[in-house]
Amino acid sequence: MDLLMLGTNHRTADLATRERLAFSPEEGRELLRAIVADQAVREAAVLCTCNRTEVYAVAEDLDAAEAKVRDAVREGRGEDLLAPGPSRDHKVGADAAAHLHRVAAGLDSLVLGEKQVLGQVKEAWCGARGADTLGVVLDKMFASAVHAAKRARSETDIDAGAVSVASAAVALAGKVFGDLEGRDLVVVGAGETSRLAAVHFAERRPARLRIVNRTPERAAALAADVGGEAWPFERLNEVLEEADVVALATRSPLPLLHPEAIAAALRRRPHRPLVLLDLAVPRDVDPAAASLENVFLHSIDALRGLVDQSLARRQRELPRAESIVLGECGRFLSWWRGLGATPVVRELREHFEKVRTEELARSLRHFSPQEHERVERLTRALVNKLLHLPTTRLKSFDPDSREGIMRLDAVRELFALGDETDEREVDRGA
Amino acid sequence: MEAASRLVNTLLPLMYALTVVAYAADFFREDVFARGAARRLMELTLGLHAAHLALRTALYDHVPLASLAEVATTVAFAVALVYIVVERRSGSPRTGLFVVSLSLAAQTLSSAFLESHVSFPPILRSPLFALHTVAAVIGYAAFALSAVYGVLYLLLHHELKRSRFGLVYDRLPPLETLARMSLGAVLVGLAALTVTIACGSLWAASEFPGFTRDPKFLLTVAVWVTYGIALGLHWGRGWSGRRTITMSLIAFGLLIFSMLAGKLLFESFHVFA
Repeated sequence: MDLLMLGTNHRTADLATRERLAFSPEEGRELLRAIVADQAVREAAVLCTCNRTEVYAVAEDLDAAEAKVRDAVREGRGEDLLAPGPSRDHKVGADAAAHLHRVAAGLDSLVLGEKQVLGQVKEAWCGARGADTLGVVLDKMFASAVHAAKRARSETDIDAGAVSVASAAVALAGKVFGDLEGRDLVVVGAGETSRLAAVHFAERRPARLRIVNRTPERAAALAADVGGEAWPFERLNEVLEEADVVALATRSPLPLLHPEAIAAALRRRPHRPLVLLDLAVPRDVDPAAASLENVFLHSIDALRGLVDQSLARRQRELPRAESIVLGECGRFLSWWRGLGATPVVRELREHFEKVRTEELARSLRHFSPQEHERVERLTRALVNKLLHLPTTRLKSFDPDSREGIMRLDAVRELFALGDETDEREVDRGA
Repeated sequence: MEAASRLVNTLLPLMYALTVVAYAADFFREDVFARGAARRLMELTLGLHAAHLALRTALYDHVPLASLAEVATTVAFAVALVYIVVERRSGSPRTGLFVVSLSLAAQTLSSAFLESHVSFPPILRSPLFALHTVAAVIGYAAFALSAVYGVLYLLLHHELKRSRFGLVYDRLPPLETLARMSLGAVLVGLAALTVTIACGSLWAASEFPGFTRDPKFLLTVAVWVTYGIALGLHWGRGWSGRRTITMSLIAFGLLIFSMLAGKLLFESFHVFA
């Protein structure tokens, strides 16, 4: 039994290819059912994020499994999007397991340590369970990957700091106020940067979120999207009297806010700090405003500096996070190897149990009925002790490795394990 | 029992130093192990310190507030105790390095100069005097905490104003939290100092007529007025956190001066041991 990972991601494929391979949850379940339809693949799961689509499959014959996955994708999308080529990522065995563990921890993400991917891995896990294509191996592997990701996040700073300008803006405002919940937040502008800032602000559940823009329709549209209120551009100075944080991202060639206007507004709102986040180029706030008491003005360069700092910090944490993730993956692989030896171990135990019960049946008549229970316990303990070490050793080797195969064959040969099974099957057939 | 008291007196600065090292490791290296160690060391040190104060009280039959060294160890304990409560409530150990350093400094001073026996004149056994000293210790501890959080506030304020995002930005709690902690501590300290001055004045009026001309008394009143003005301007006139905290730090400087001057520079009735 082996493991296959077949898919594309942001490292191997362009956006257009990734778009064609994107599956909705329902499409994903259909895909999984198609993959396991004829038993060539025992278990399957599909992980779909904006940067990757990856199918994980457990099968005896990996070539057959790969063909099945490609067929299922071809049926769903009308083209062989997972054919061998530079846009395809293909991993087997331990590499496939390690890949999922790294993905779950955000170590393979476009933005190192990003948090959303862990939720998407959990969705893939639940999706496979819902499609009834999850078996013991994939279930254990996804559980291990999720556990590894949680450990990496709690024991290192792999997800620390803000890694986008919008999240850096929120982080900076938070460094003054602590929590932005219940605060008065304002976004000036309705372009892409303003939208990102507004979305980040809205997530913090402010008391009031106002969108100010020269074009009222665009302000209203953005306000409707983020659950805020549109505010006329002509009344921009008024918002300064009430706002805690103002993010500005317009294309105005001249500054919109001058120190005099800000100072006048501050006089009407004593001892409350005002955070101004100038995300525009050229600047929307006159830099002289930075010297005003109680005003914290940050330019786009400052925010980018903060982002770079966070990314560098995450990069420094990468070796520690890798070590945790690969350690957990190693534990999963040990378990998996043990699983491969399970049939042999089971047969070995059955063989010993058979010998024990036969010998017991022959000898029990020499013991008094009071001693039967004691002899039964003694022989059972003896068999368990004798088998403990061989069982542990057998499970510690990869059953598909040369050494593992040799050991399992040796055990089968020494105890004639296959012969007994064959004899039973012949008897049953007869 | 006296030998045990001396041993604990020697051990305490070492325990505080170890705790500060653990908090420093957490602050500078974000070491998870150091964070756990700091918390456990802090609890252990506080337990030992409580035992130290209890031992001295039992040995010498008075609360350890009869000398500058005794006041220093009690203030060190009060600061550390308040800090552990703050840490538990905020869930952030990031200011431990600075606050516990203050306890370390006070305890080192106390351990170096603490006499094995301090005379406690019968005149000081009045309940009013007891309330006066207990309130003074609470007030000093609160003002010391306020000063630590005030300095941290100014450091973070400086980084934010200049859009610099270094270690201070990364590790300290938000600016408004630091302001709340600092000004909250000033409020507690001011209330305690009011009780201190009121009880002390009532008691001294009968024992030391003319105490109102005493330099230590006048300096303490000046401290009270300075802190009062700082809070009044903040809440009444809308002074910014930075200005208010700067003024409260000036008041704290005056408080330290009044403590040392009362002992070293002036002739004051306010020296009992």
